[in-house]
Amino acid sequence: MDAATASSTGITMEHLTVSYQTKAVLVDVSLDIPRGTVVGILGPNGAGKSTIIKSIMGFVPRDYGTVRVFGQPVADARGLVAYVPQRGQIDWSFPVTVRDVVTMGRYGHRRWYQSIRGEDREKVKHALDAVRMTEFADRQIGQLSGGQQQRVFMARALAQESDILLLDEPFAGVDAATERAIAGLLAGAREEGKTVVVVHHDLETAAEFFDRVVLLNRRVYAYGPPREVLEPNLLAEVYGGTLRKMSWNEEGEA
Amino acid sequence: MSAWLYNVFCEPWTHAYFVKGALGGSIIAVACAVLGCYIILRKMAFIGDAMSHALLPGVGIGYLVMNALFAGGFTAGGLLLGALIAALLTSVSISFLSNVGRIAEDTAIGIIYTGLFAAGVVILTRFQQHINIDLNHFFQGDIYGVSWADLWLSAGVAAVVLSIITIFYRHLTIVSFDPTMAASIGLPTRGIHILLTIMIALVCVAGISMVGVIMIVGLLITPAALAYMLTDRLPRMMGLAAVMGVLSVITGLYFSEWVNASGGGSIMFMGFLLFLVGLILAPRYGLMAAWLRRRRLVPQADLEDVLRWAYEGCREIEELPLDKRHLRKVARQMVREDLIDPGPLRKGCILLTDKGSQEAAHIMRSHQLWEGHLIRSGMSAEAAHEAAHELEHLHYRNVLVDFDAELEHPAKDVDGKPIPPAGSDG
Ligand SMILES: Nc1ncnc2c1ncn2[C@@H]1O[C@H](COP(=O)(O)OP(=O)(O)OP(=O)(O)O)[C@@H](O)[C@H]1O
Ligand SMILES: [Mg+2]
Repeated sequence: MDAATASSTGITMEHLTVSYQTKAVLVDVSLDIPRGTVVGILGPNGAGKSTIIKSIMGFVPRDYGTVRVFGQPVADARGLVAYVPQRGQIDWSFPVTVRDVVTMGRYGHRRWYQSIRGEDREKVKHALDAVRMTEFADRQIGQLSGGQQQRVFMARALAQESDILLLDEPFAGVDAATERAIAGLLAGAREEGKTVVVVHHDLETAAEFFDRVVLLNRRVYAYGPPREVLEPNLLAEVYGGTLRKMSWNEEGEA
Repeated sequence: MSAWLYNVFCEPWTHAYFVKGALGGSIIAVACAVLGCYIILRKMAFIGDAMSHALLPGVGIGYLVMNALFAGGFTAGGLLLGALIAALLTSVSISFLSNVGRIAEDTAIGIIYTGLFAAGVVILTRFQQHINIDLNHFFQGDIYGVSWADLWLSAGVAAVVLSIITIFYRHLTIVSFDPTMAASIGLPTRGIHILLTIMIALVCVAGISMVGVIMIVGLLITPAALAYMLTDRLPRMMGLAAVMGVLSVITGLYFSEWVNASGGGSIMFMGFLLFLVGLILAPRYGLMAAWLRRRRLVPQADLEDVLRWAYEGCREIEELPLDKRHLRKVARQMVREDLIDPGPLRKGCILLTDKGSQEAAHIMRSHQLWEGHLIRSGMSAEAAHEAAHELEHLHYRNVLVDFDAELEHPAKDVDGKPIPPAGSDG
């Protein structure tokens, strides 16, 4: 597929199985995401999409299987990964400003006894500019619209300057302009050779944004180029038939 | 008069017990308040409560062991060590219990701390003759019996806690705010949680003998919660919480002097009253602010009526058929929205700004088109005029466009007045 990047390993999962308490959430997930590809993860609510993202960060206990980042176990690969959490996971009344949140992106670059430097502040400024949030820099994060909040976390990921970007539903609830802006950032990341994993819900735009798509519902149903994967029969199987009512048939509403 | 003032406010400071109480209480209140900010942001309040109670067996056993080893010496060290071990045990067993079976975390906390507390009560009562810690003291503390050892201990603990929070400010903040991200950049989230637990244990041990177990939890939670109502910046929240904590201690001590009540109780009671005052008066998140915001709201329809009345030029307030007080409220709101000019308003006259004129033109147009539409639909001119006063507030652009087409783009209304052009409000 991507002849140029297929040789270098990005993120590899082998037989990954994860459960919370007794409930298996991911079963035997094997994926090979080459360095420099932009991959979309699609699947119904509760499919385990966020769990996959967290397992790449080593944040969920594995029952079985391995996750490697650039060939290393995740525990050794910390700091290579930037993460944009799903909206619902953030306490929006936490007393931090937009600038504070973006500055967190620089913490990984400083040891615990080192302070944040001018160079870091410069990068924070650039990241804020890139998502056009500079004028809101001193707002508390709860006092922003949903789309603006999403952009703040994108800026934090940019400020991290990491080789891997993990984005959990960055397009959820954003308007057309913000969607274009985020898509632009994804394209920019691809150009810089970053490996990007995006949890996504919109089938229409998936083909446009991603090199490869994973169809997930506890197991991997399909993985490959969007044109092969986003196939009505497969989708119906993964989404349990509910999709017929959705926009895929271009009738009715989601 | 001045003698009275002196007696009420200054005289207490001439007593060493009062000064020591104020000093020790303030030191521990500052440490608690700053630490408390993280506790409430991480929603660990119940853990703090549990931790403080679960210290009892640790304190008891520590005392017994030290007593047995050194025959009465070094008990302070034994208490501290025992309390720390108990705190760690509490923390570890809570997270263990809430990760096995089907027990939720709050349930686990309830089970563990009552269990450990009960163990402490058993130990204390069984070895009553060997341990001189009494339960009443554990609950209430003795702010007027602060010893030099208590003072040094609290100063040491406060120094340690404040230094840790200063040094690890970034780490504590990010782990509290976004633990997943914190883990992804390699921060030990579990370790930081344990660090917080240890700090809670430290302030509890240092504070319990002064203010007692329930009040120490109060000092951890209440000033921080009050500060949280007052600001949106974490460093400022910490500073404000510290001020509120010290304020509770000082006012509490005065109060207990005046009414001759328990010191620990008075301190926390004052902290609680301060919180209530903050809850009511906080500028942005307080009850009063919400009430004022609601009070200032005026019905959009009244506002639009005033706009239409003032459309044709300056109108005297007296002319308008609205209750005068209500009208003034509406007018103030319109000034805030930059619809009318505040200058003439002071002379009792309503003059629209440019923005106001544009909006007024739109309402006017709506009124006139509705009137035309209703007459065309067969209503009498008089009835149509009345109804249009109500219906003009339904001024969706698309509705007006339809009416305009239906009436073949009239330039004048039924009375021959010109209809303002569409889109004149931008
Ligand atoms: N911390 C947790 N403890 C217990 N169960 C969990 C936990 N986190 C997730 N789950 C369960 O695991 C399953 C997968 O969750 P996950 O968050 O990965 O889904 P998702 O695909 O991201 O869903 P969504 O589209 O709603 O975000 C769900 O059934 C959820 O209830
Ligand atoms: Mg999710």
